[in-house]
Parts: sequence; structure tokens; C-alpha cells
Amino acid sequence: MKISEVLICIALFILVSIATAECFIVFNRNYKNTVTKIIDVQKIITFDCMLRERVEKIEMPYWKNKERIYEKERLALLELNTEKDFAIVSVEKVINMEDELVGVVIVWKYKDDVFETKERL
Amino acid sequence: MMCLKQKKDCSDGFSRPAAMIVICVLSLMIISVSMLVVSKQKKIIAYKTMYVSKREAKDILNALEIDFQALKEEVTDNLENETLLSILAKYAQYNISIRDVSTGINKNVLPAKLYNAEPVQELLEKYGEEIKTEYGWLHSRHVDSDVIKALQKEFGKETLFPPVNQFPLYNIYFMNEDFIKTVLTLHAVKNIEEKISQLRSLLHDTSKFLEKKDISAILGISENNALFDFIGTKTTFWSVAFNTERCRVEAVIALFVDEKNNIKKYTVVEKHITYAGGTL
Repeated sequence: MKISEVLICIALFILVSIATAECFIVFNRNYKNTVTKIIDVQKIITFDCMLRERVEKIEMPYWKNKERIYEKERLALLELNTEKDFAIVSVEKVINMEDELVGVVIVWKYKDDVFETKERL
Repeated sequence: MMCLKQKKDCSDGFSRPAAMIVICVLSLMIISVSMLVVSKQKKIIAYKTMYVSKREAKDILNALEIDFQALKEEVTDNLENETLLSILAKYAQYNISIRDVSTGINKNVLPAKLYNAEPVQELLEKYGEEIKTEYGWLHSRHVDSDVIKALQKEFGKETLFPPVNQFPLYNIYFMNEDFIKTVLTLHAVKNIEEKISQLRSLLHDTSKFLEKKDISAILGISENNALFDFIGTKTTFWSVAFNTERCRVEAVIALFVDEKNNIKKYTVVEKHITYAGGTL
């Protein structure tokens, strides 16, 4: 085997090795990203579900002062012990044309993404 | 010869351990990510189904609330009421049930003196839970001062409208004879049996609306009598229940009046939605 052939073989081997390694690295990175994204989506959905159930459970009897109940629930939501990476940003009320409290909008963050959960009371 | 030997070895199968390890690792990764995707996808689909089902149930309840507004035009609320019949027909596919929940003895609404009166206690003894109710507005002329004080404290204002208003507490169409007798006895109406029999025939005549003046004429009392603070022909709280494909909805729709005692609107004041599709 000539020296030039040996050099070409070495070069080819290096090229193929680099390509293989790169493929593996890219695959591994995508795999990790996919797993993280799937887990994130599930966490986001579970959190949204928890918030909706929480709002659904708020009882506002017709003989009670709705504003007072809302204020109490608003503070409780803001102080909610959330999982790491989650944070309640704000809790806003929704009022109708007759100035009555009819719903709630919860703005929350997961990592850097901001979400809104809207529910009728 | 040597070359032939090598060729033979190759055709028998040849693999390097490193290549095998890489293939195994890649396979494991692909399998694990696939399994993860499948399991999480199931949860995501379950959540989507739950969300869509609850949204559908809420939309139906909202539509029902809108349809209830037609009751504002009805003079009387009874089971032959056109609006109620049309609502029952419209939502029949959801197995809807509607019932009056404000015509009954409500301890929180009645003044203690009235609640503890002998005829009322006898009625409670006879019918027990069947005659009791938890829903109803307070009548401004028949409410205890401590209840007013508690409500003033709760709302932080003097005027307690709309919880305290002047709308009749009970719908005569949903009162049984003993209940009517009790209310008449409390208001010192004479010849009760005879008057109840006249009332009965009017209540069963669905071709005409029973109005205040009719009741007043039968009972021989004026239309300003305190009896009409209790007996009317409209229901103030309705309980509605229906089933969607995956949800059970139980709600209470209340009649709200304006300052002039006219019916302003019907609004959902309580709702419970139970999802039958399991949890996430």
C-alpha cells in the first residue's frame, strides 16, 4: 500500500468517525430536548388543570360577599406553593357589564414562558 | 489461500463490539423516548378530553341560563309552563331535570318567631327533610335583625339588595296542601279547608294563569296582606341537573329582582360539574 493510500484511508477514517460522532451527538441532544419538552408539556398541562380545578372549587354562595371571597382566594392563589420553575404572576378578576364578578384570569410562568388560565366562577 | 480464508470469515458474519454497543445504546434511547412519548401522550389526550368535556358542559349550562331568561315573561311558574316545557324538550337529550328548590321551609330565611311557630314545627315534623330547603331570598319585612346585622357586616353596607328583597318566598304551585294550610293558618285565614279546595281547582286549571288577585279573592284578603310576602306564583331558585357524554352537571339558577321588585334576570348561582372520565 502506498503512503498516499494510507493517508487517504486515515483521512476517510477520521471523516467517517467525525460524522458518526456528530450524528450521535445531534441525536443525543435531540433525544434530551424531546424528553425535556415532553416532560415540560405534561407539567404545564398538570399545572393548568390544577389551577382550573382550584378555581372550580371556589364556592361563592349568593348570600356572601363575592368580592371578599375573591380577595381571599386571590391572595391564596398568589401565595400558592408551586413546583420549581412555576410562578403565579397575577390574578385578575373578570367583571361583566353590570359590574359583577363573573370570572378569574390567572397569569403564570413556567421557566420563561407566560401562560393564562381563564375560568368562570 | 489466505485471501479465500478471509472471505469465508466475512460471509459467516462479522461485527465489532463497539458497533454493537452503539446500536444497542441507540435502540435503547429510541425505545425509551418512544415509551415516554406514548405515556405522556396518553395523559395529554386525557387532559384534552377532560377539558373539552367540561367546556361542553359549561357551554350547555350557559345556554340553559340564557334560555331561562324567557321565564321573566311568564306570569306563573308551574310544570305546564311553556318556557319550562320548551327547555325540557330542548335539553331532553341531556336527560335534564328541573325542580323548584326555594319553595320550602328555610331556617336561614324565616324569622325565628315564624320558624318556631307551632304550625311550622308540625309541618316539619310531618314532612322532615322533604319540606326543608336551603335556597331562598330574604324578605325585607320578615327577617330577624341579627340576620340583617350579620349580612350588613358581610357586605359592609347598609343596603342589602339583592339578597334581601320583597319578592314572595314560595311558589304556590309547588306547595303541598299542608304547606299552604300552614301559611294560611299563620295569617289567620278563616275557613281554610273550603278555601284550599277552591285554590286546588284553580291550581289544577292550566288553561289560565293564577294571579295575585285570584288568590286574594278566594282567600278574602286584600292584595296588600302579608300573606303575599310568602305566597306567589313564581319560583326564585331552580335546581337543574343534566348529563353530557362524560360530565354530570348540577346547578342552581336564581331569579334576581330589581329595586322595583320586577324580575331582572336569571343567573347561575351555584354549579357542580363532575367529570366521569377519571382523573389525570
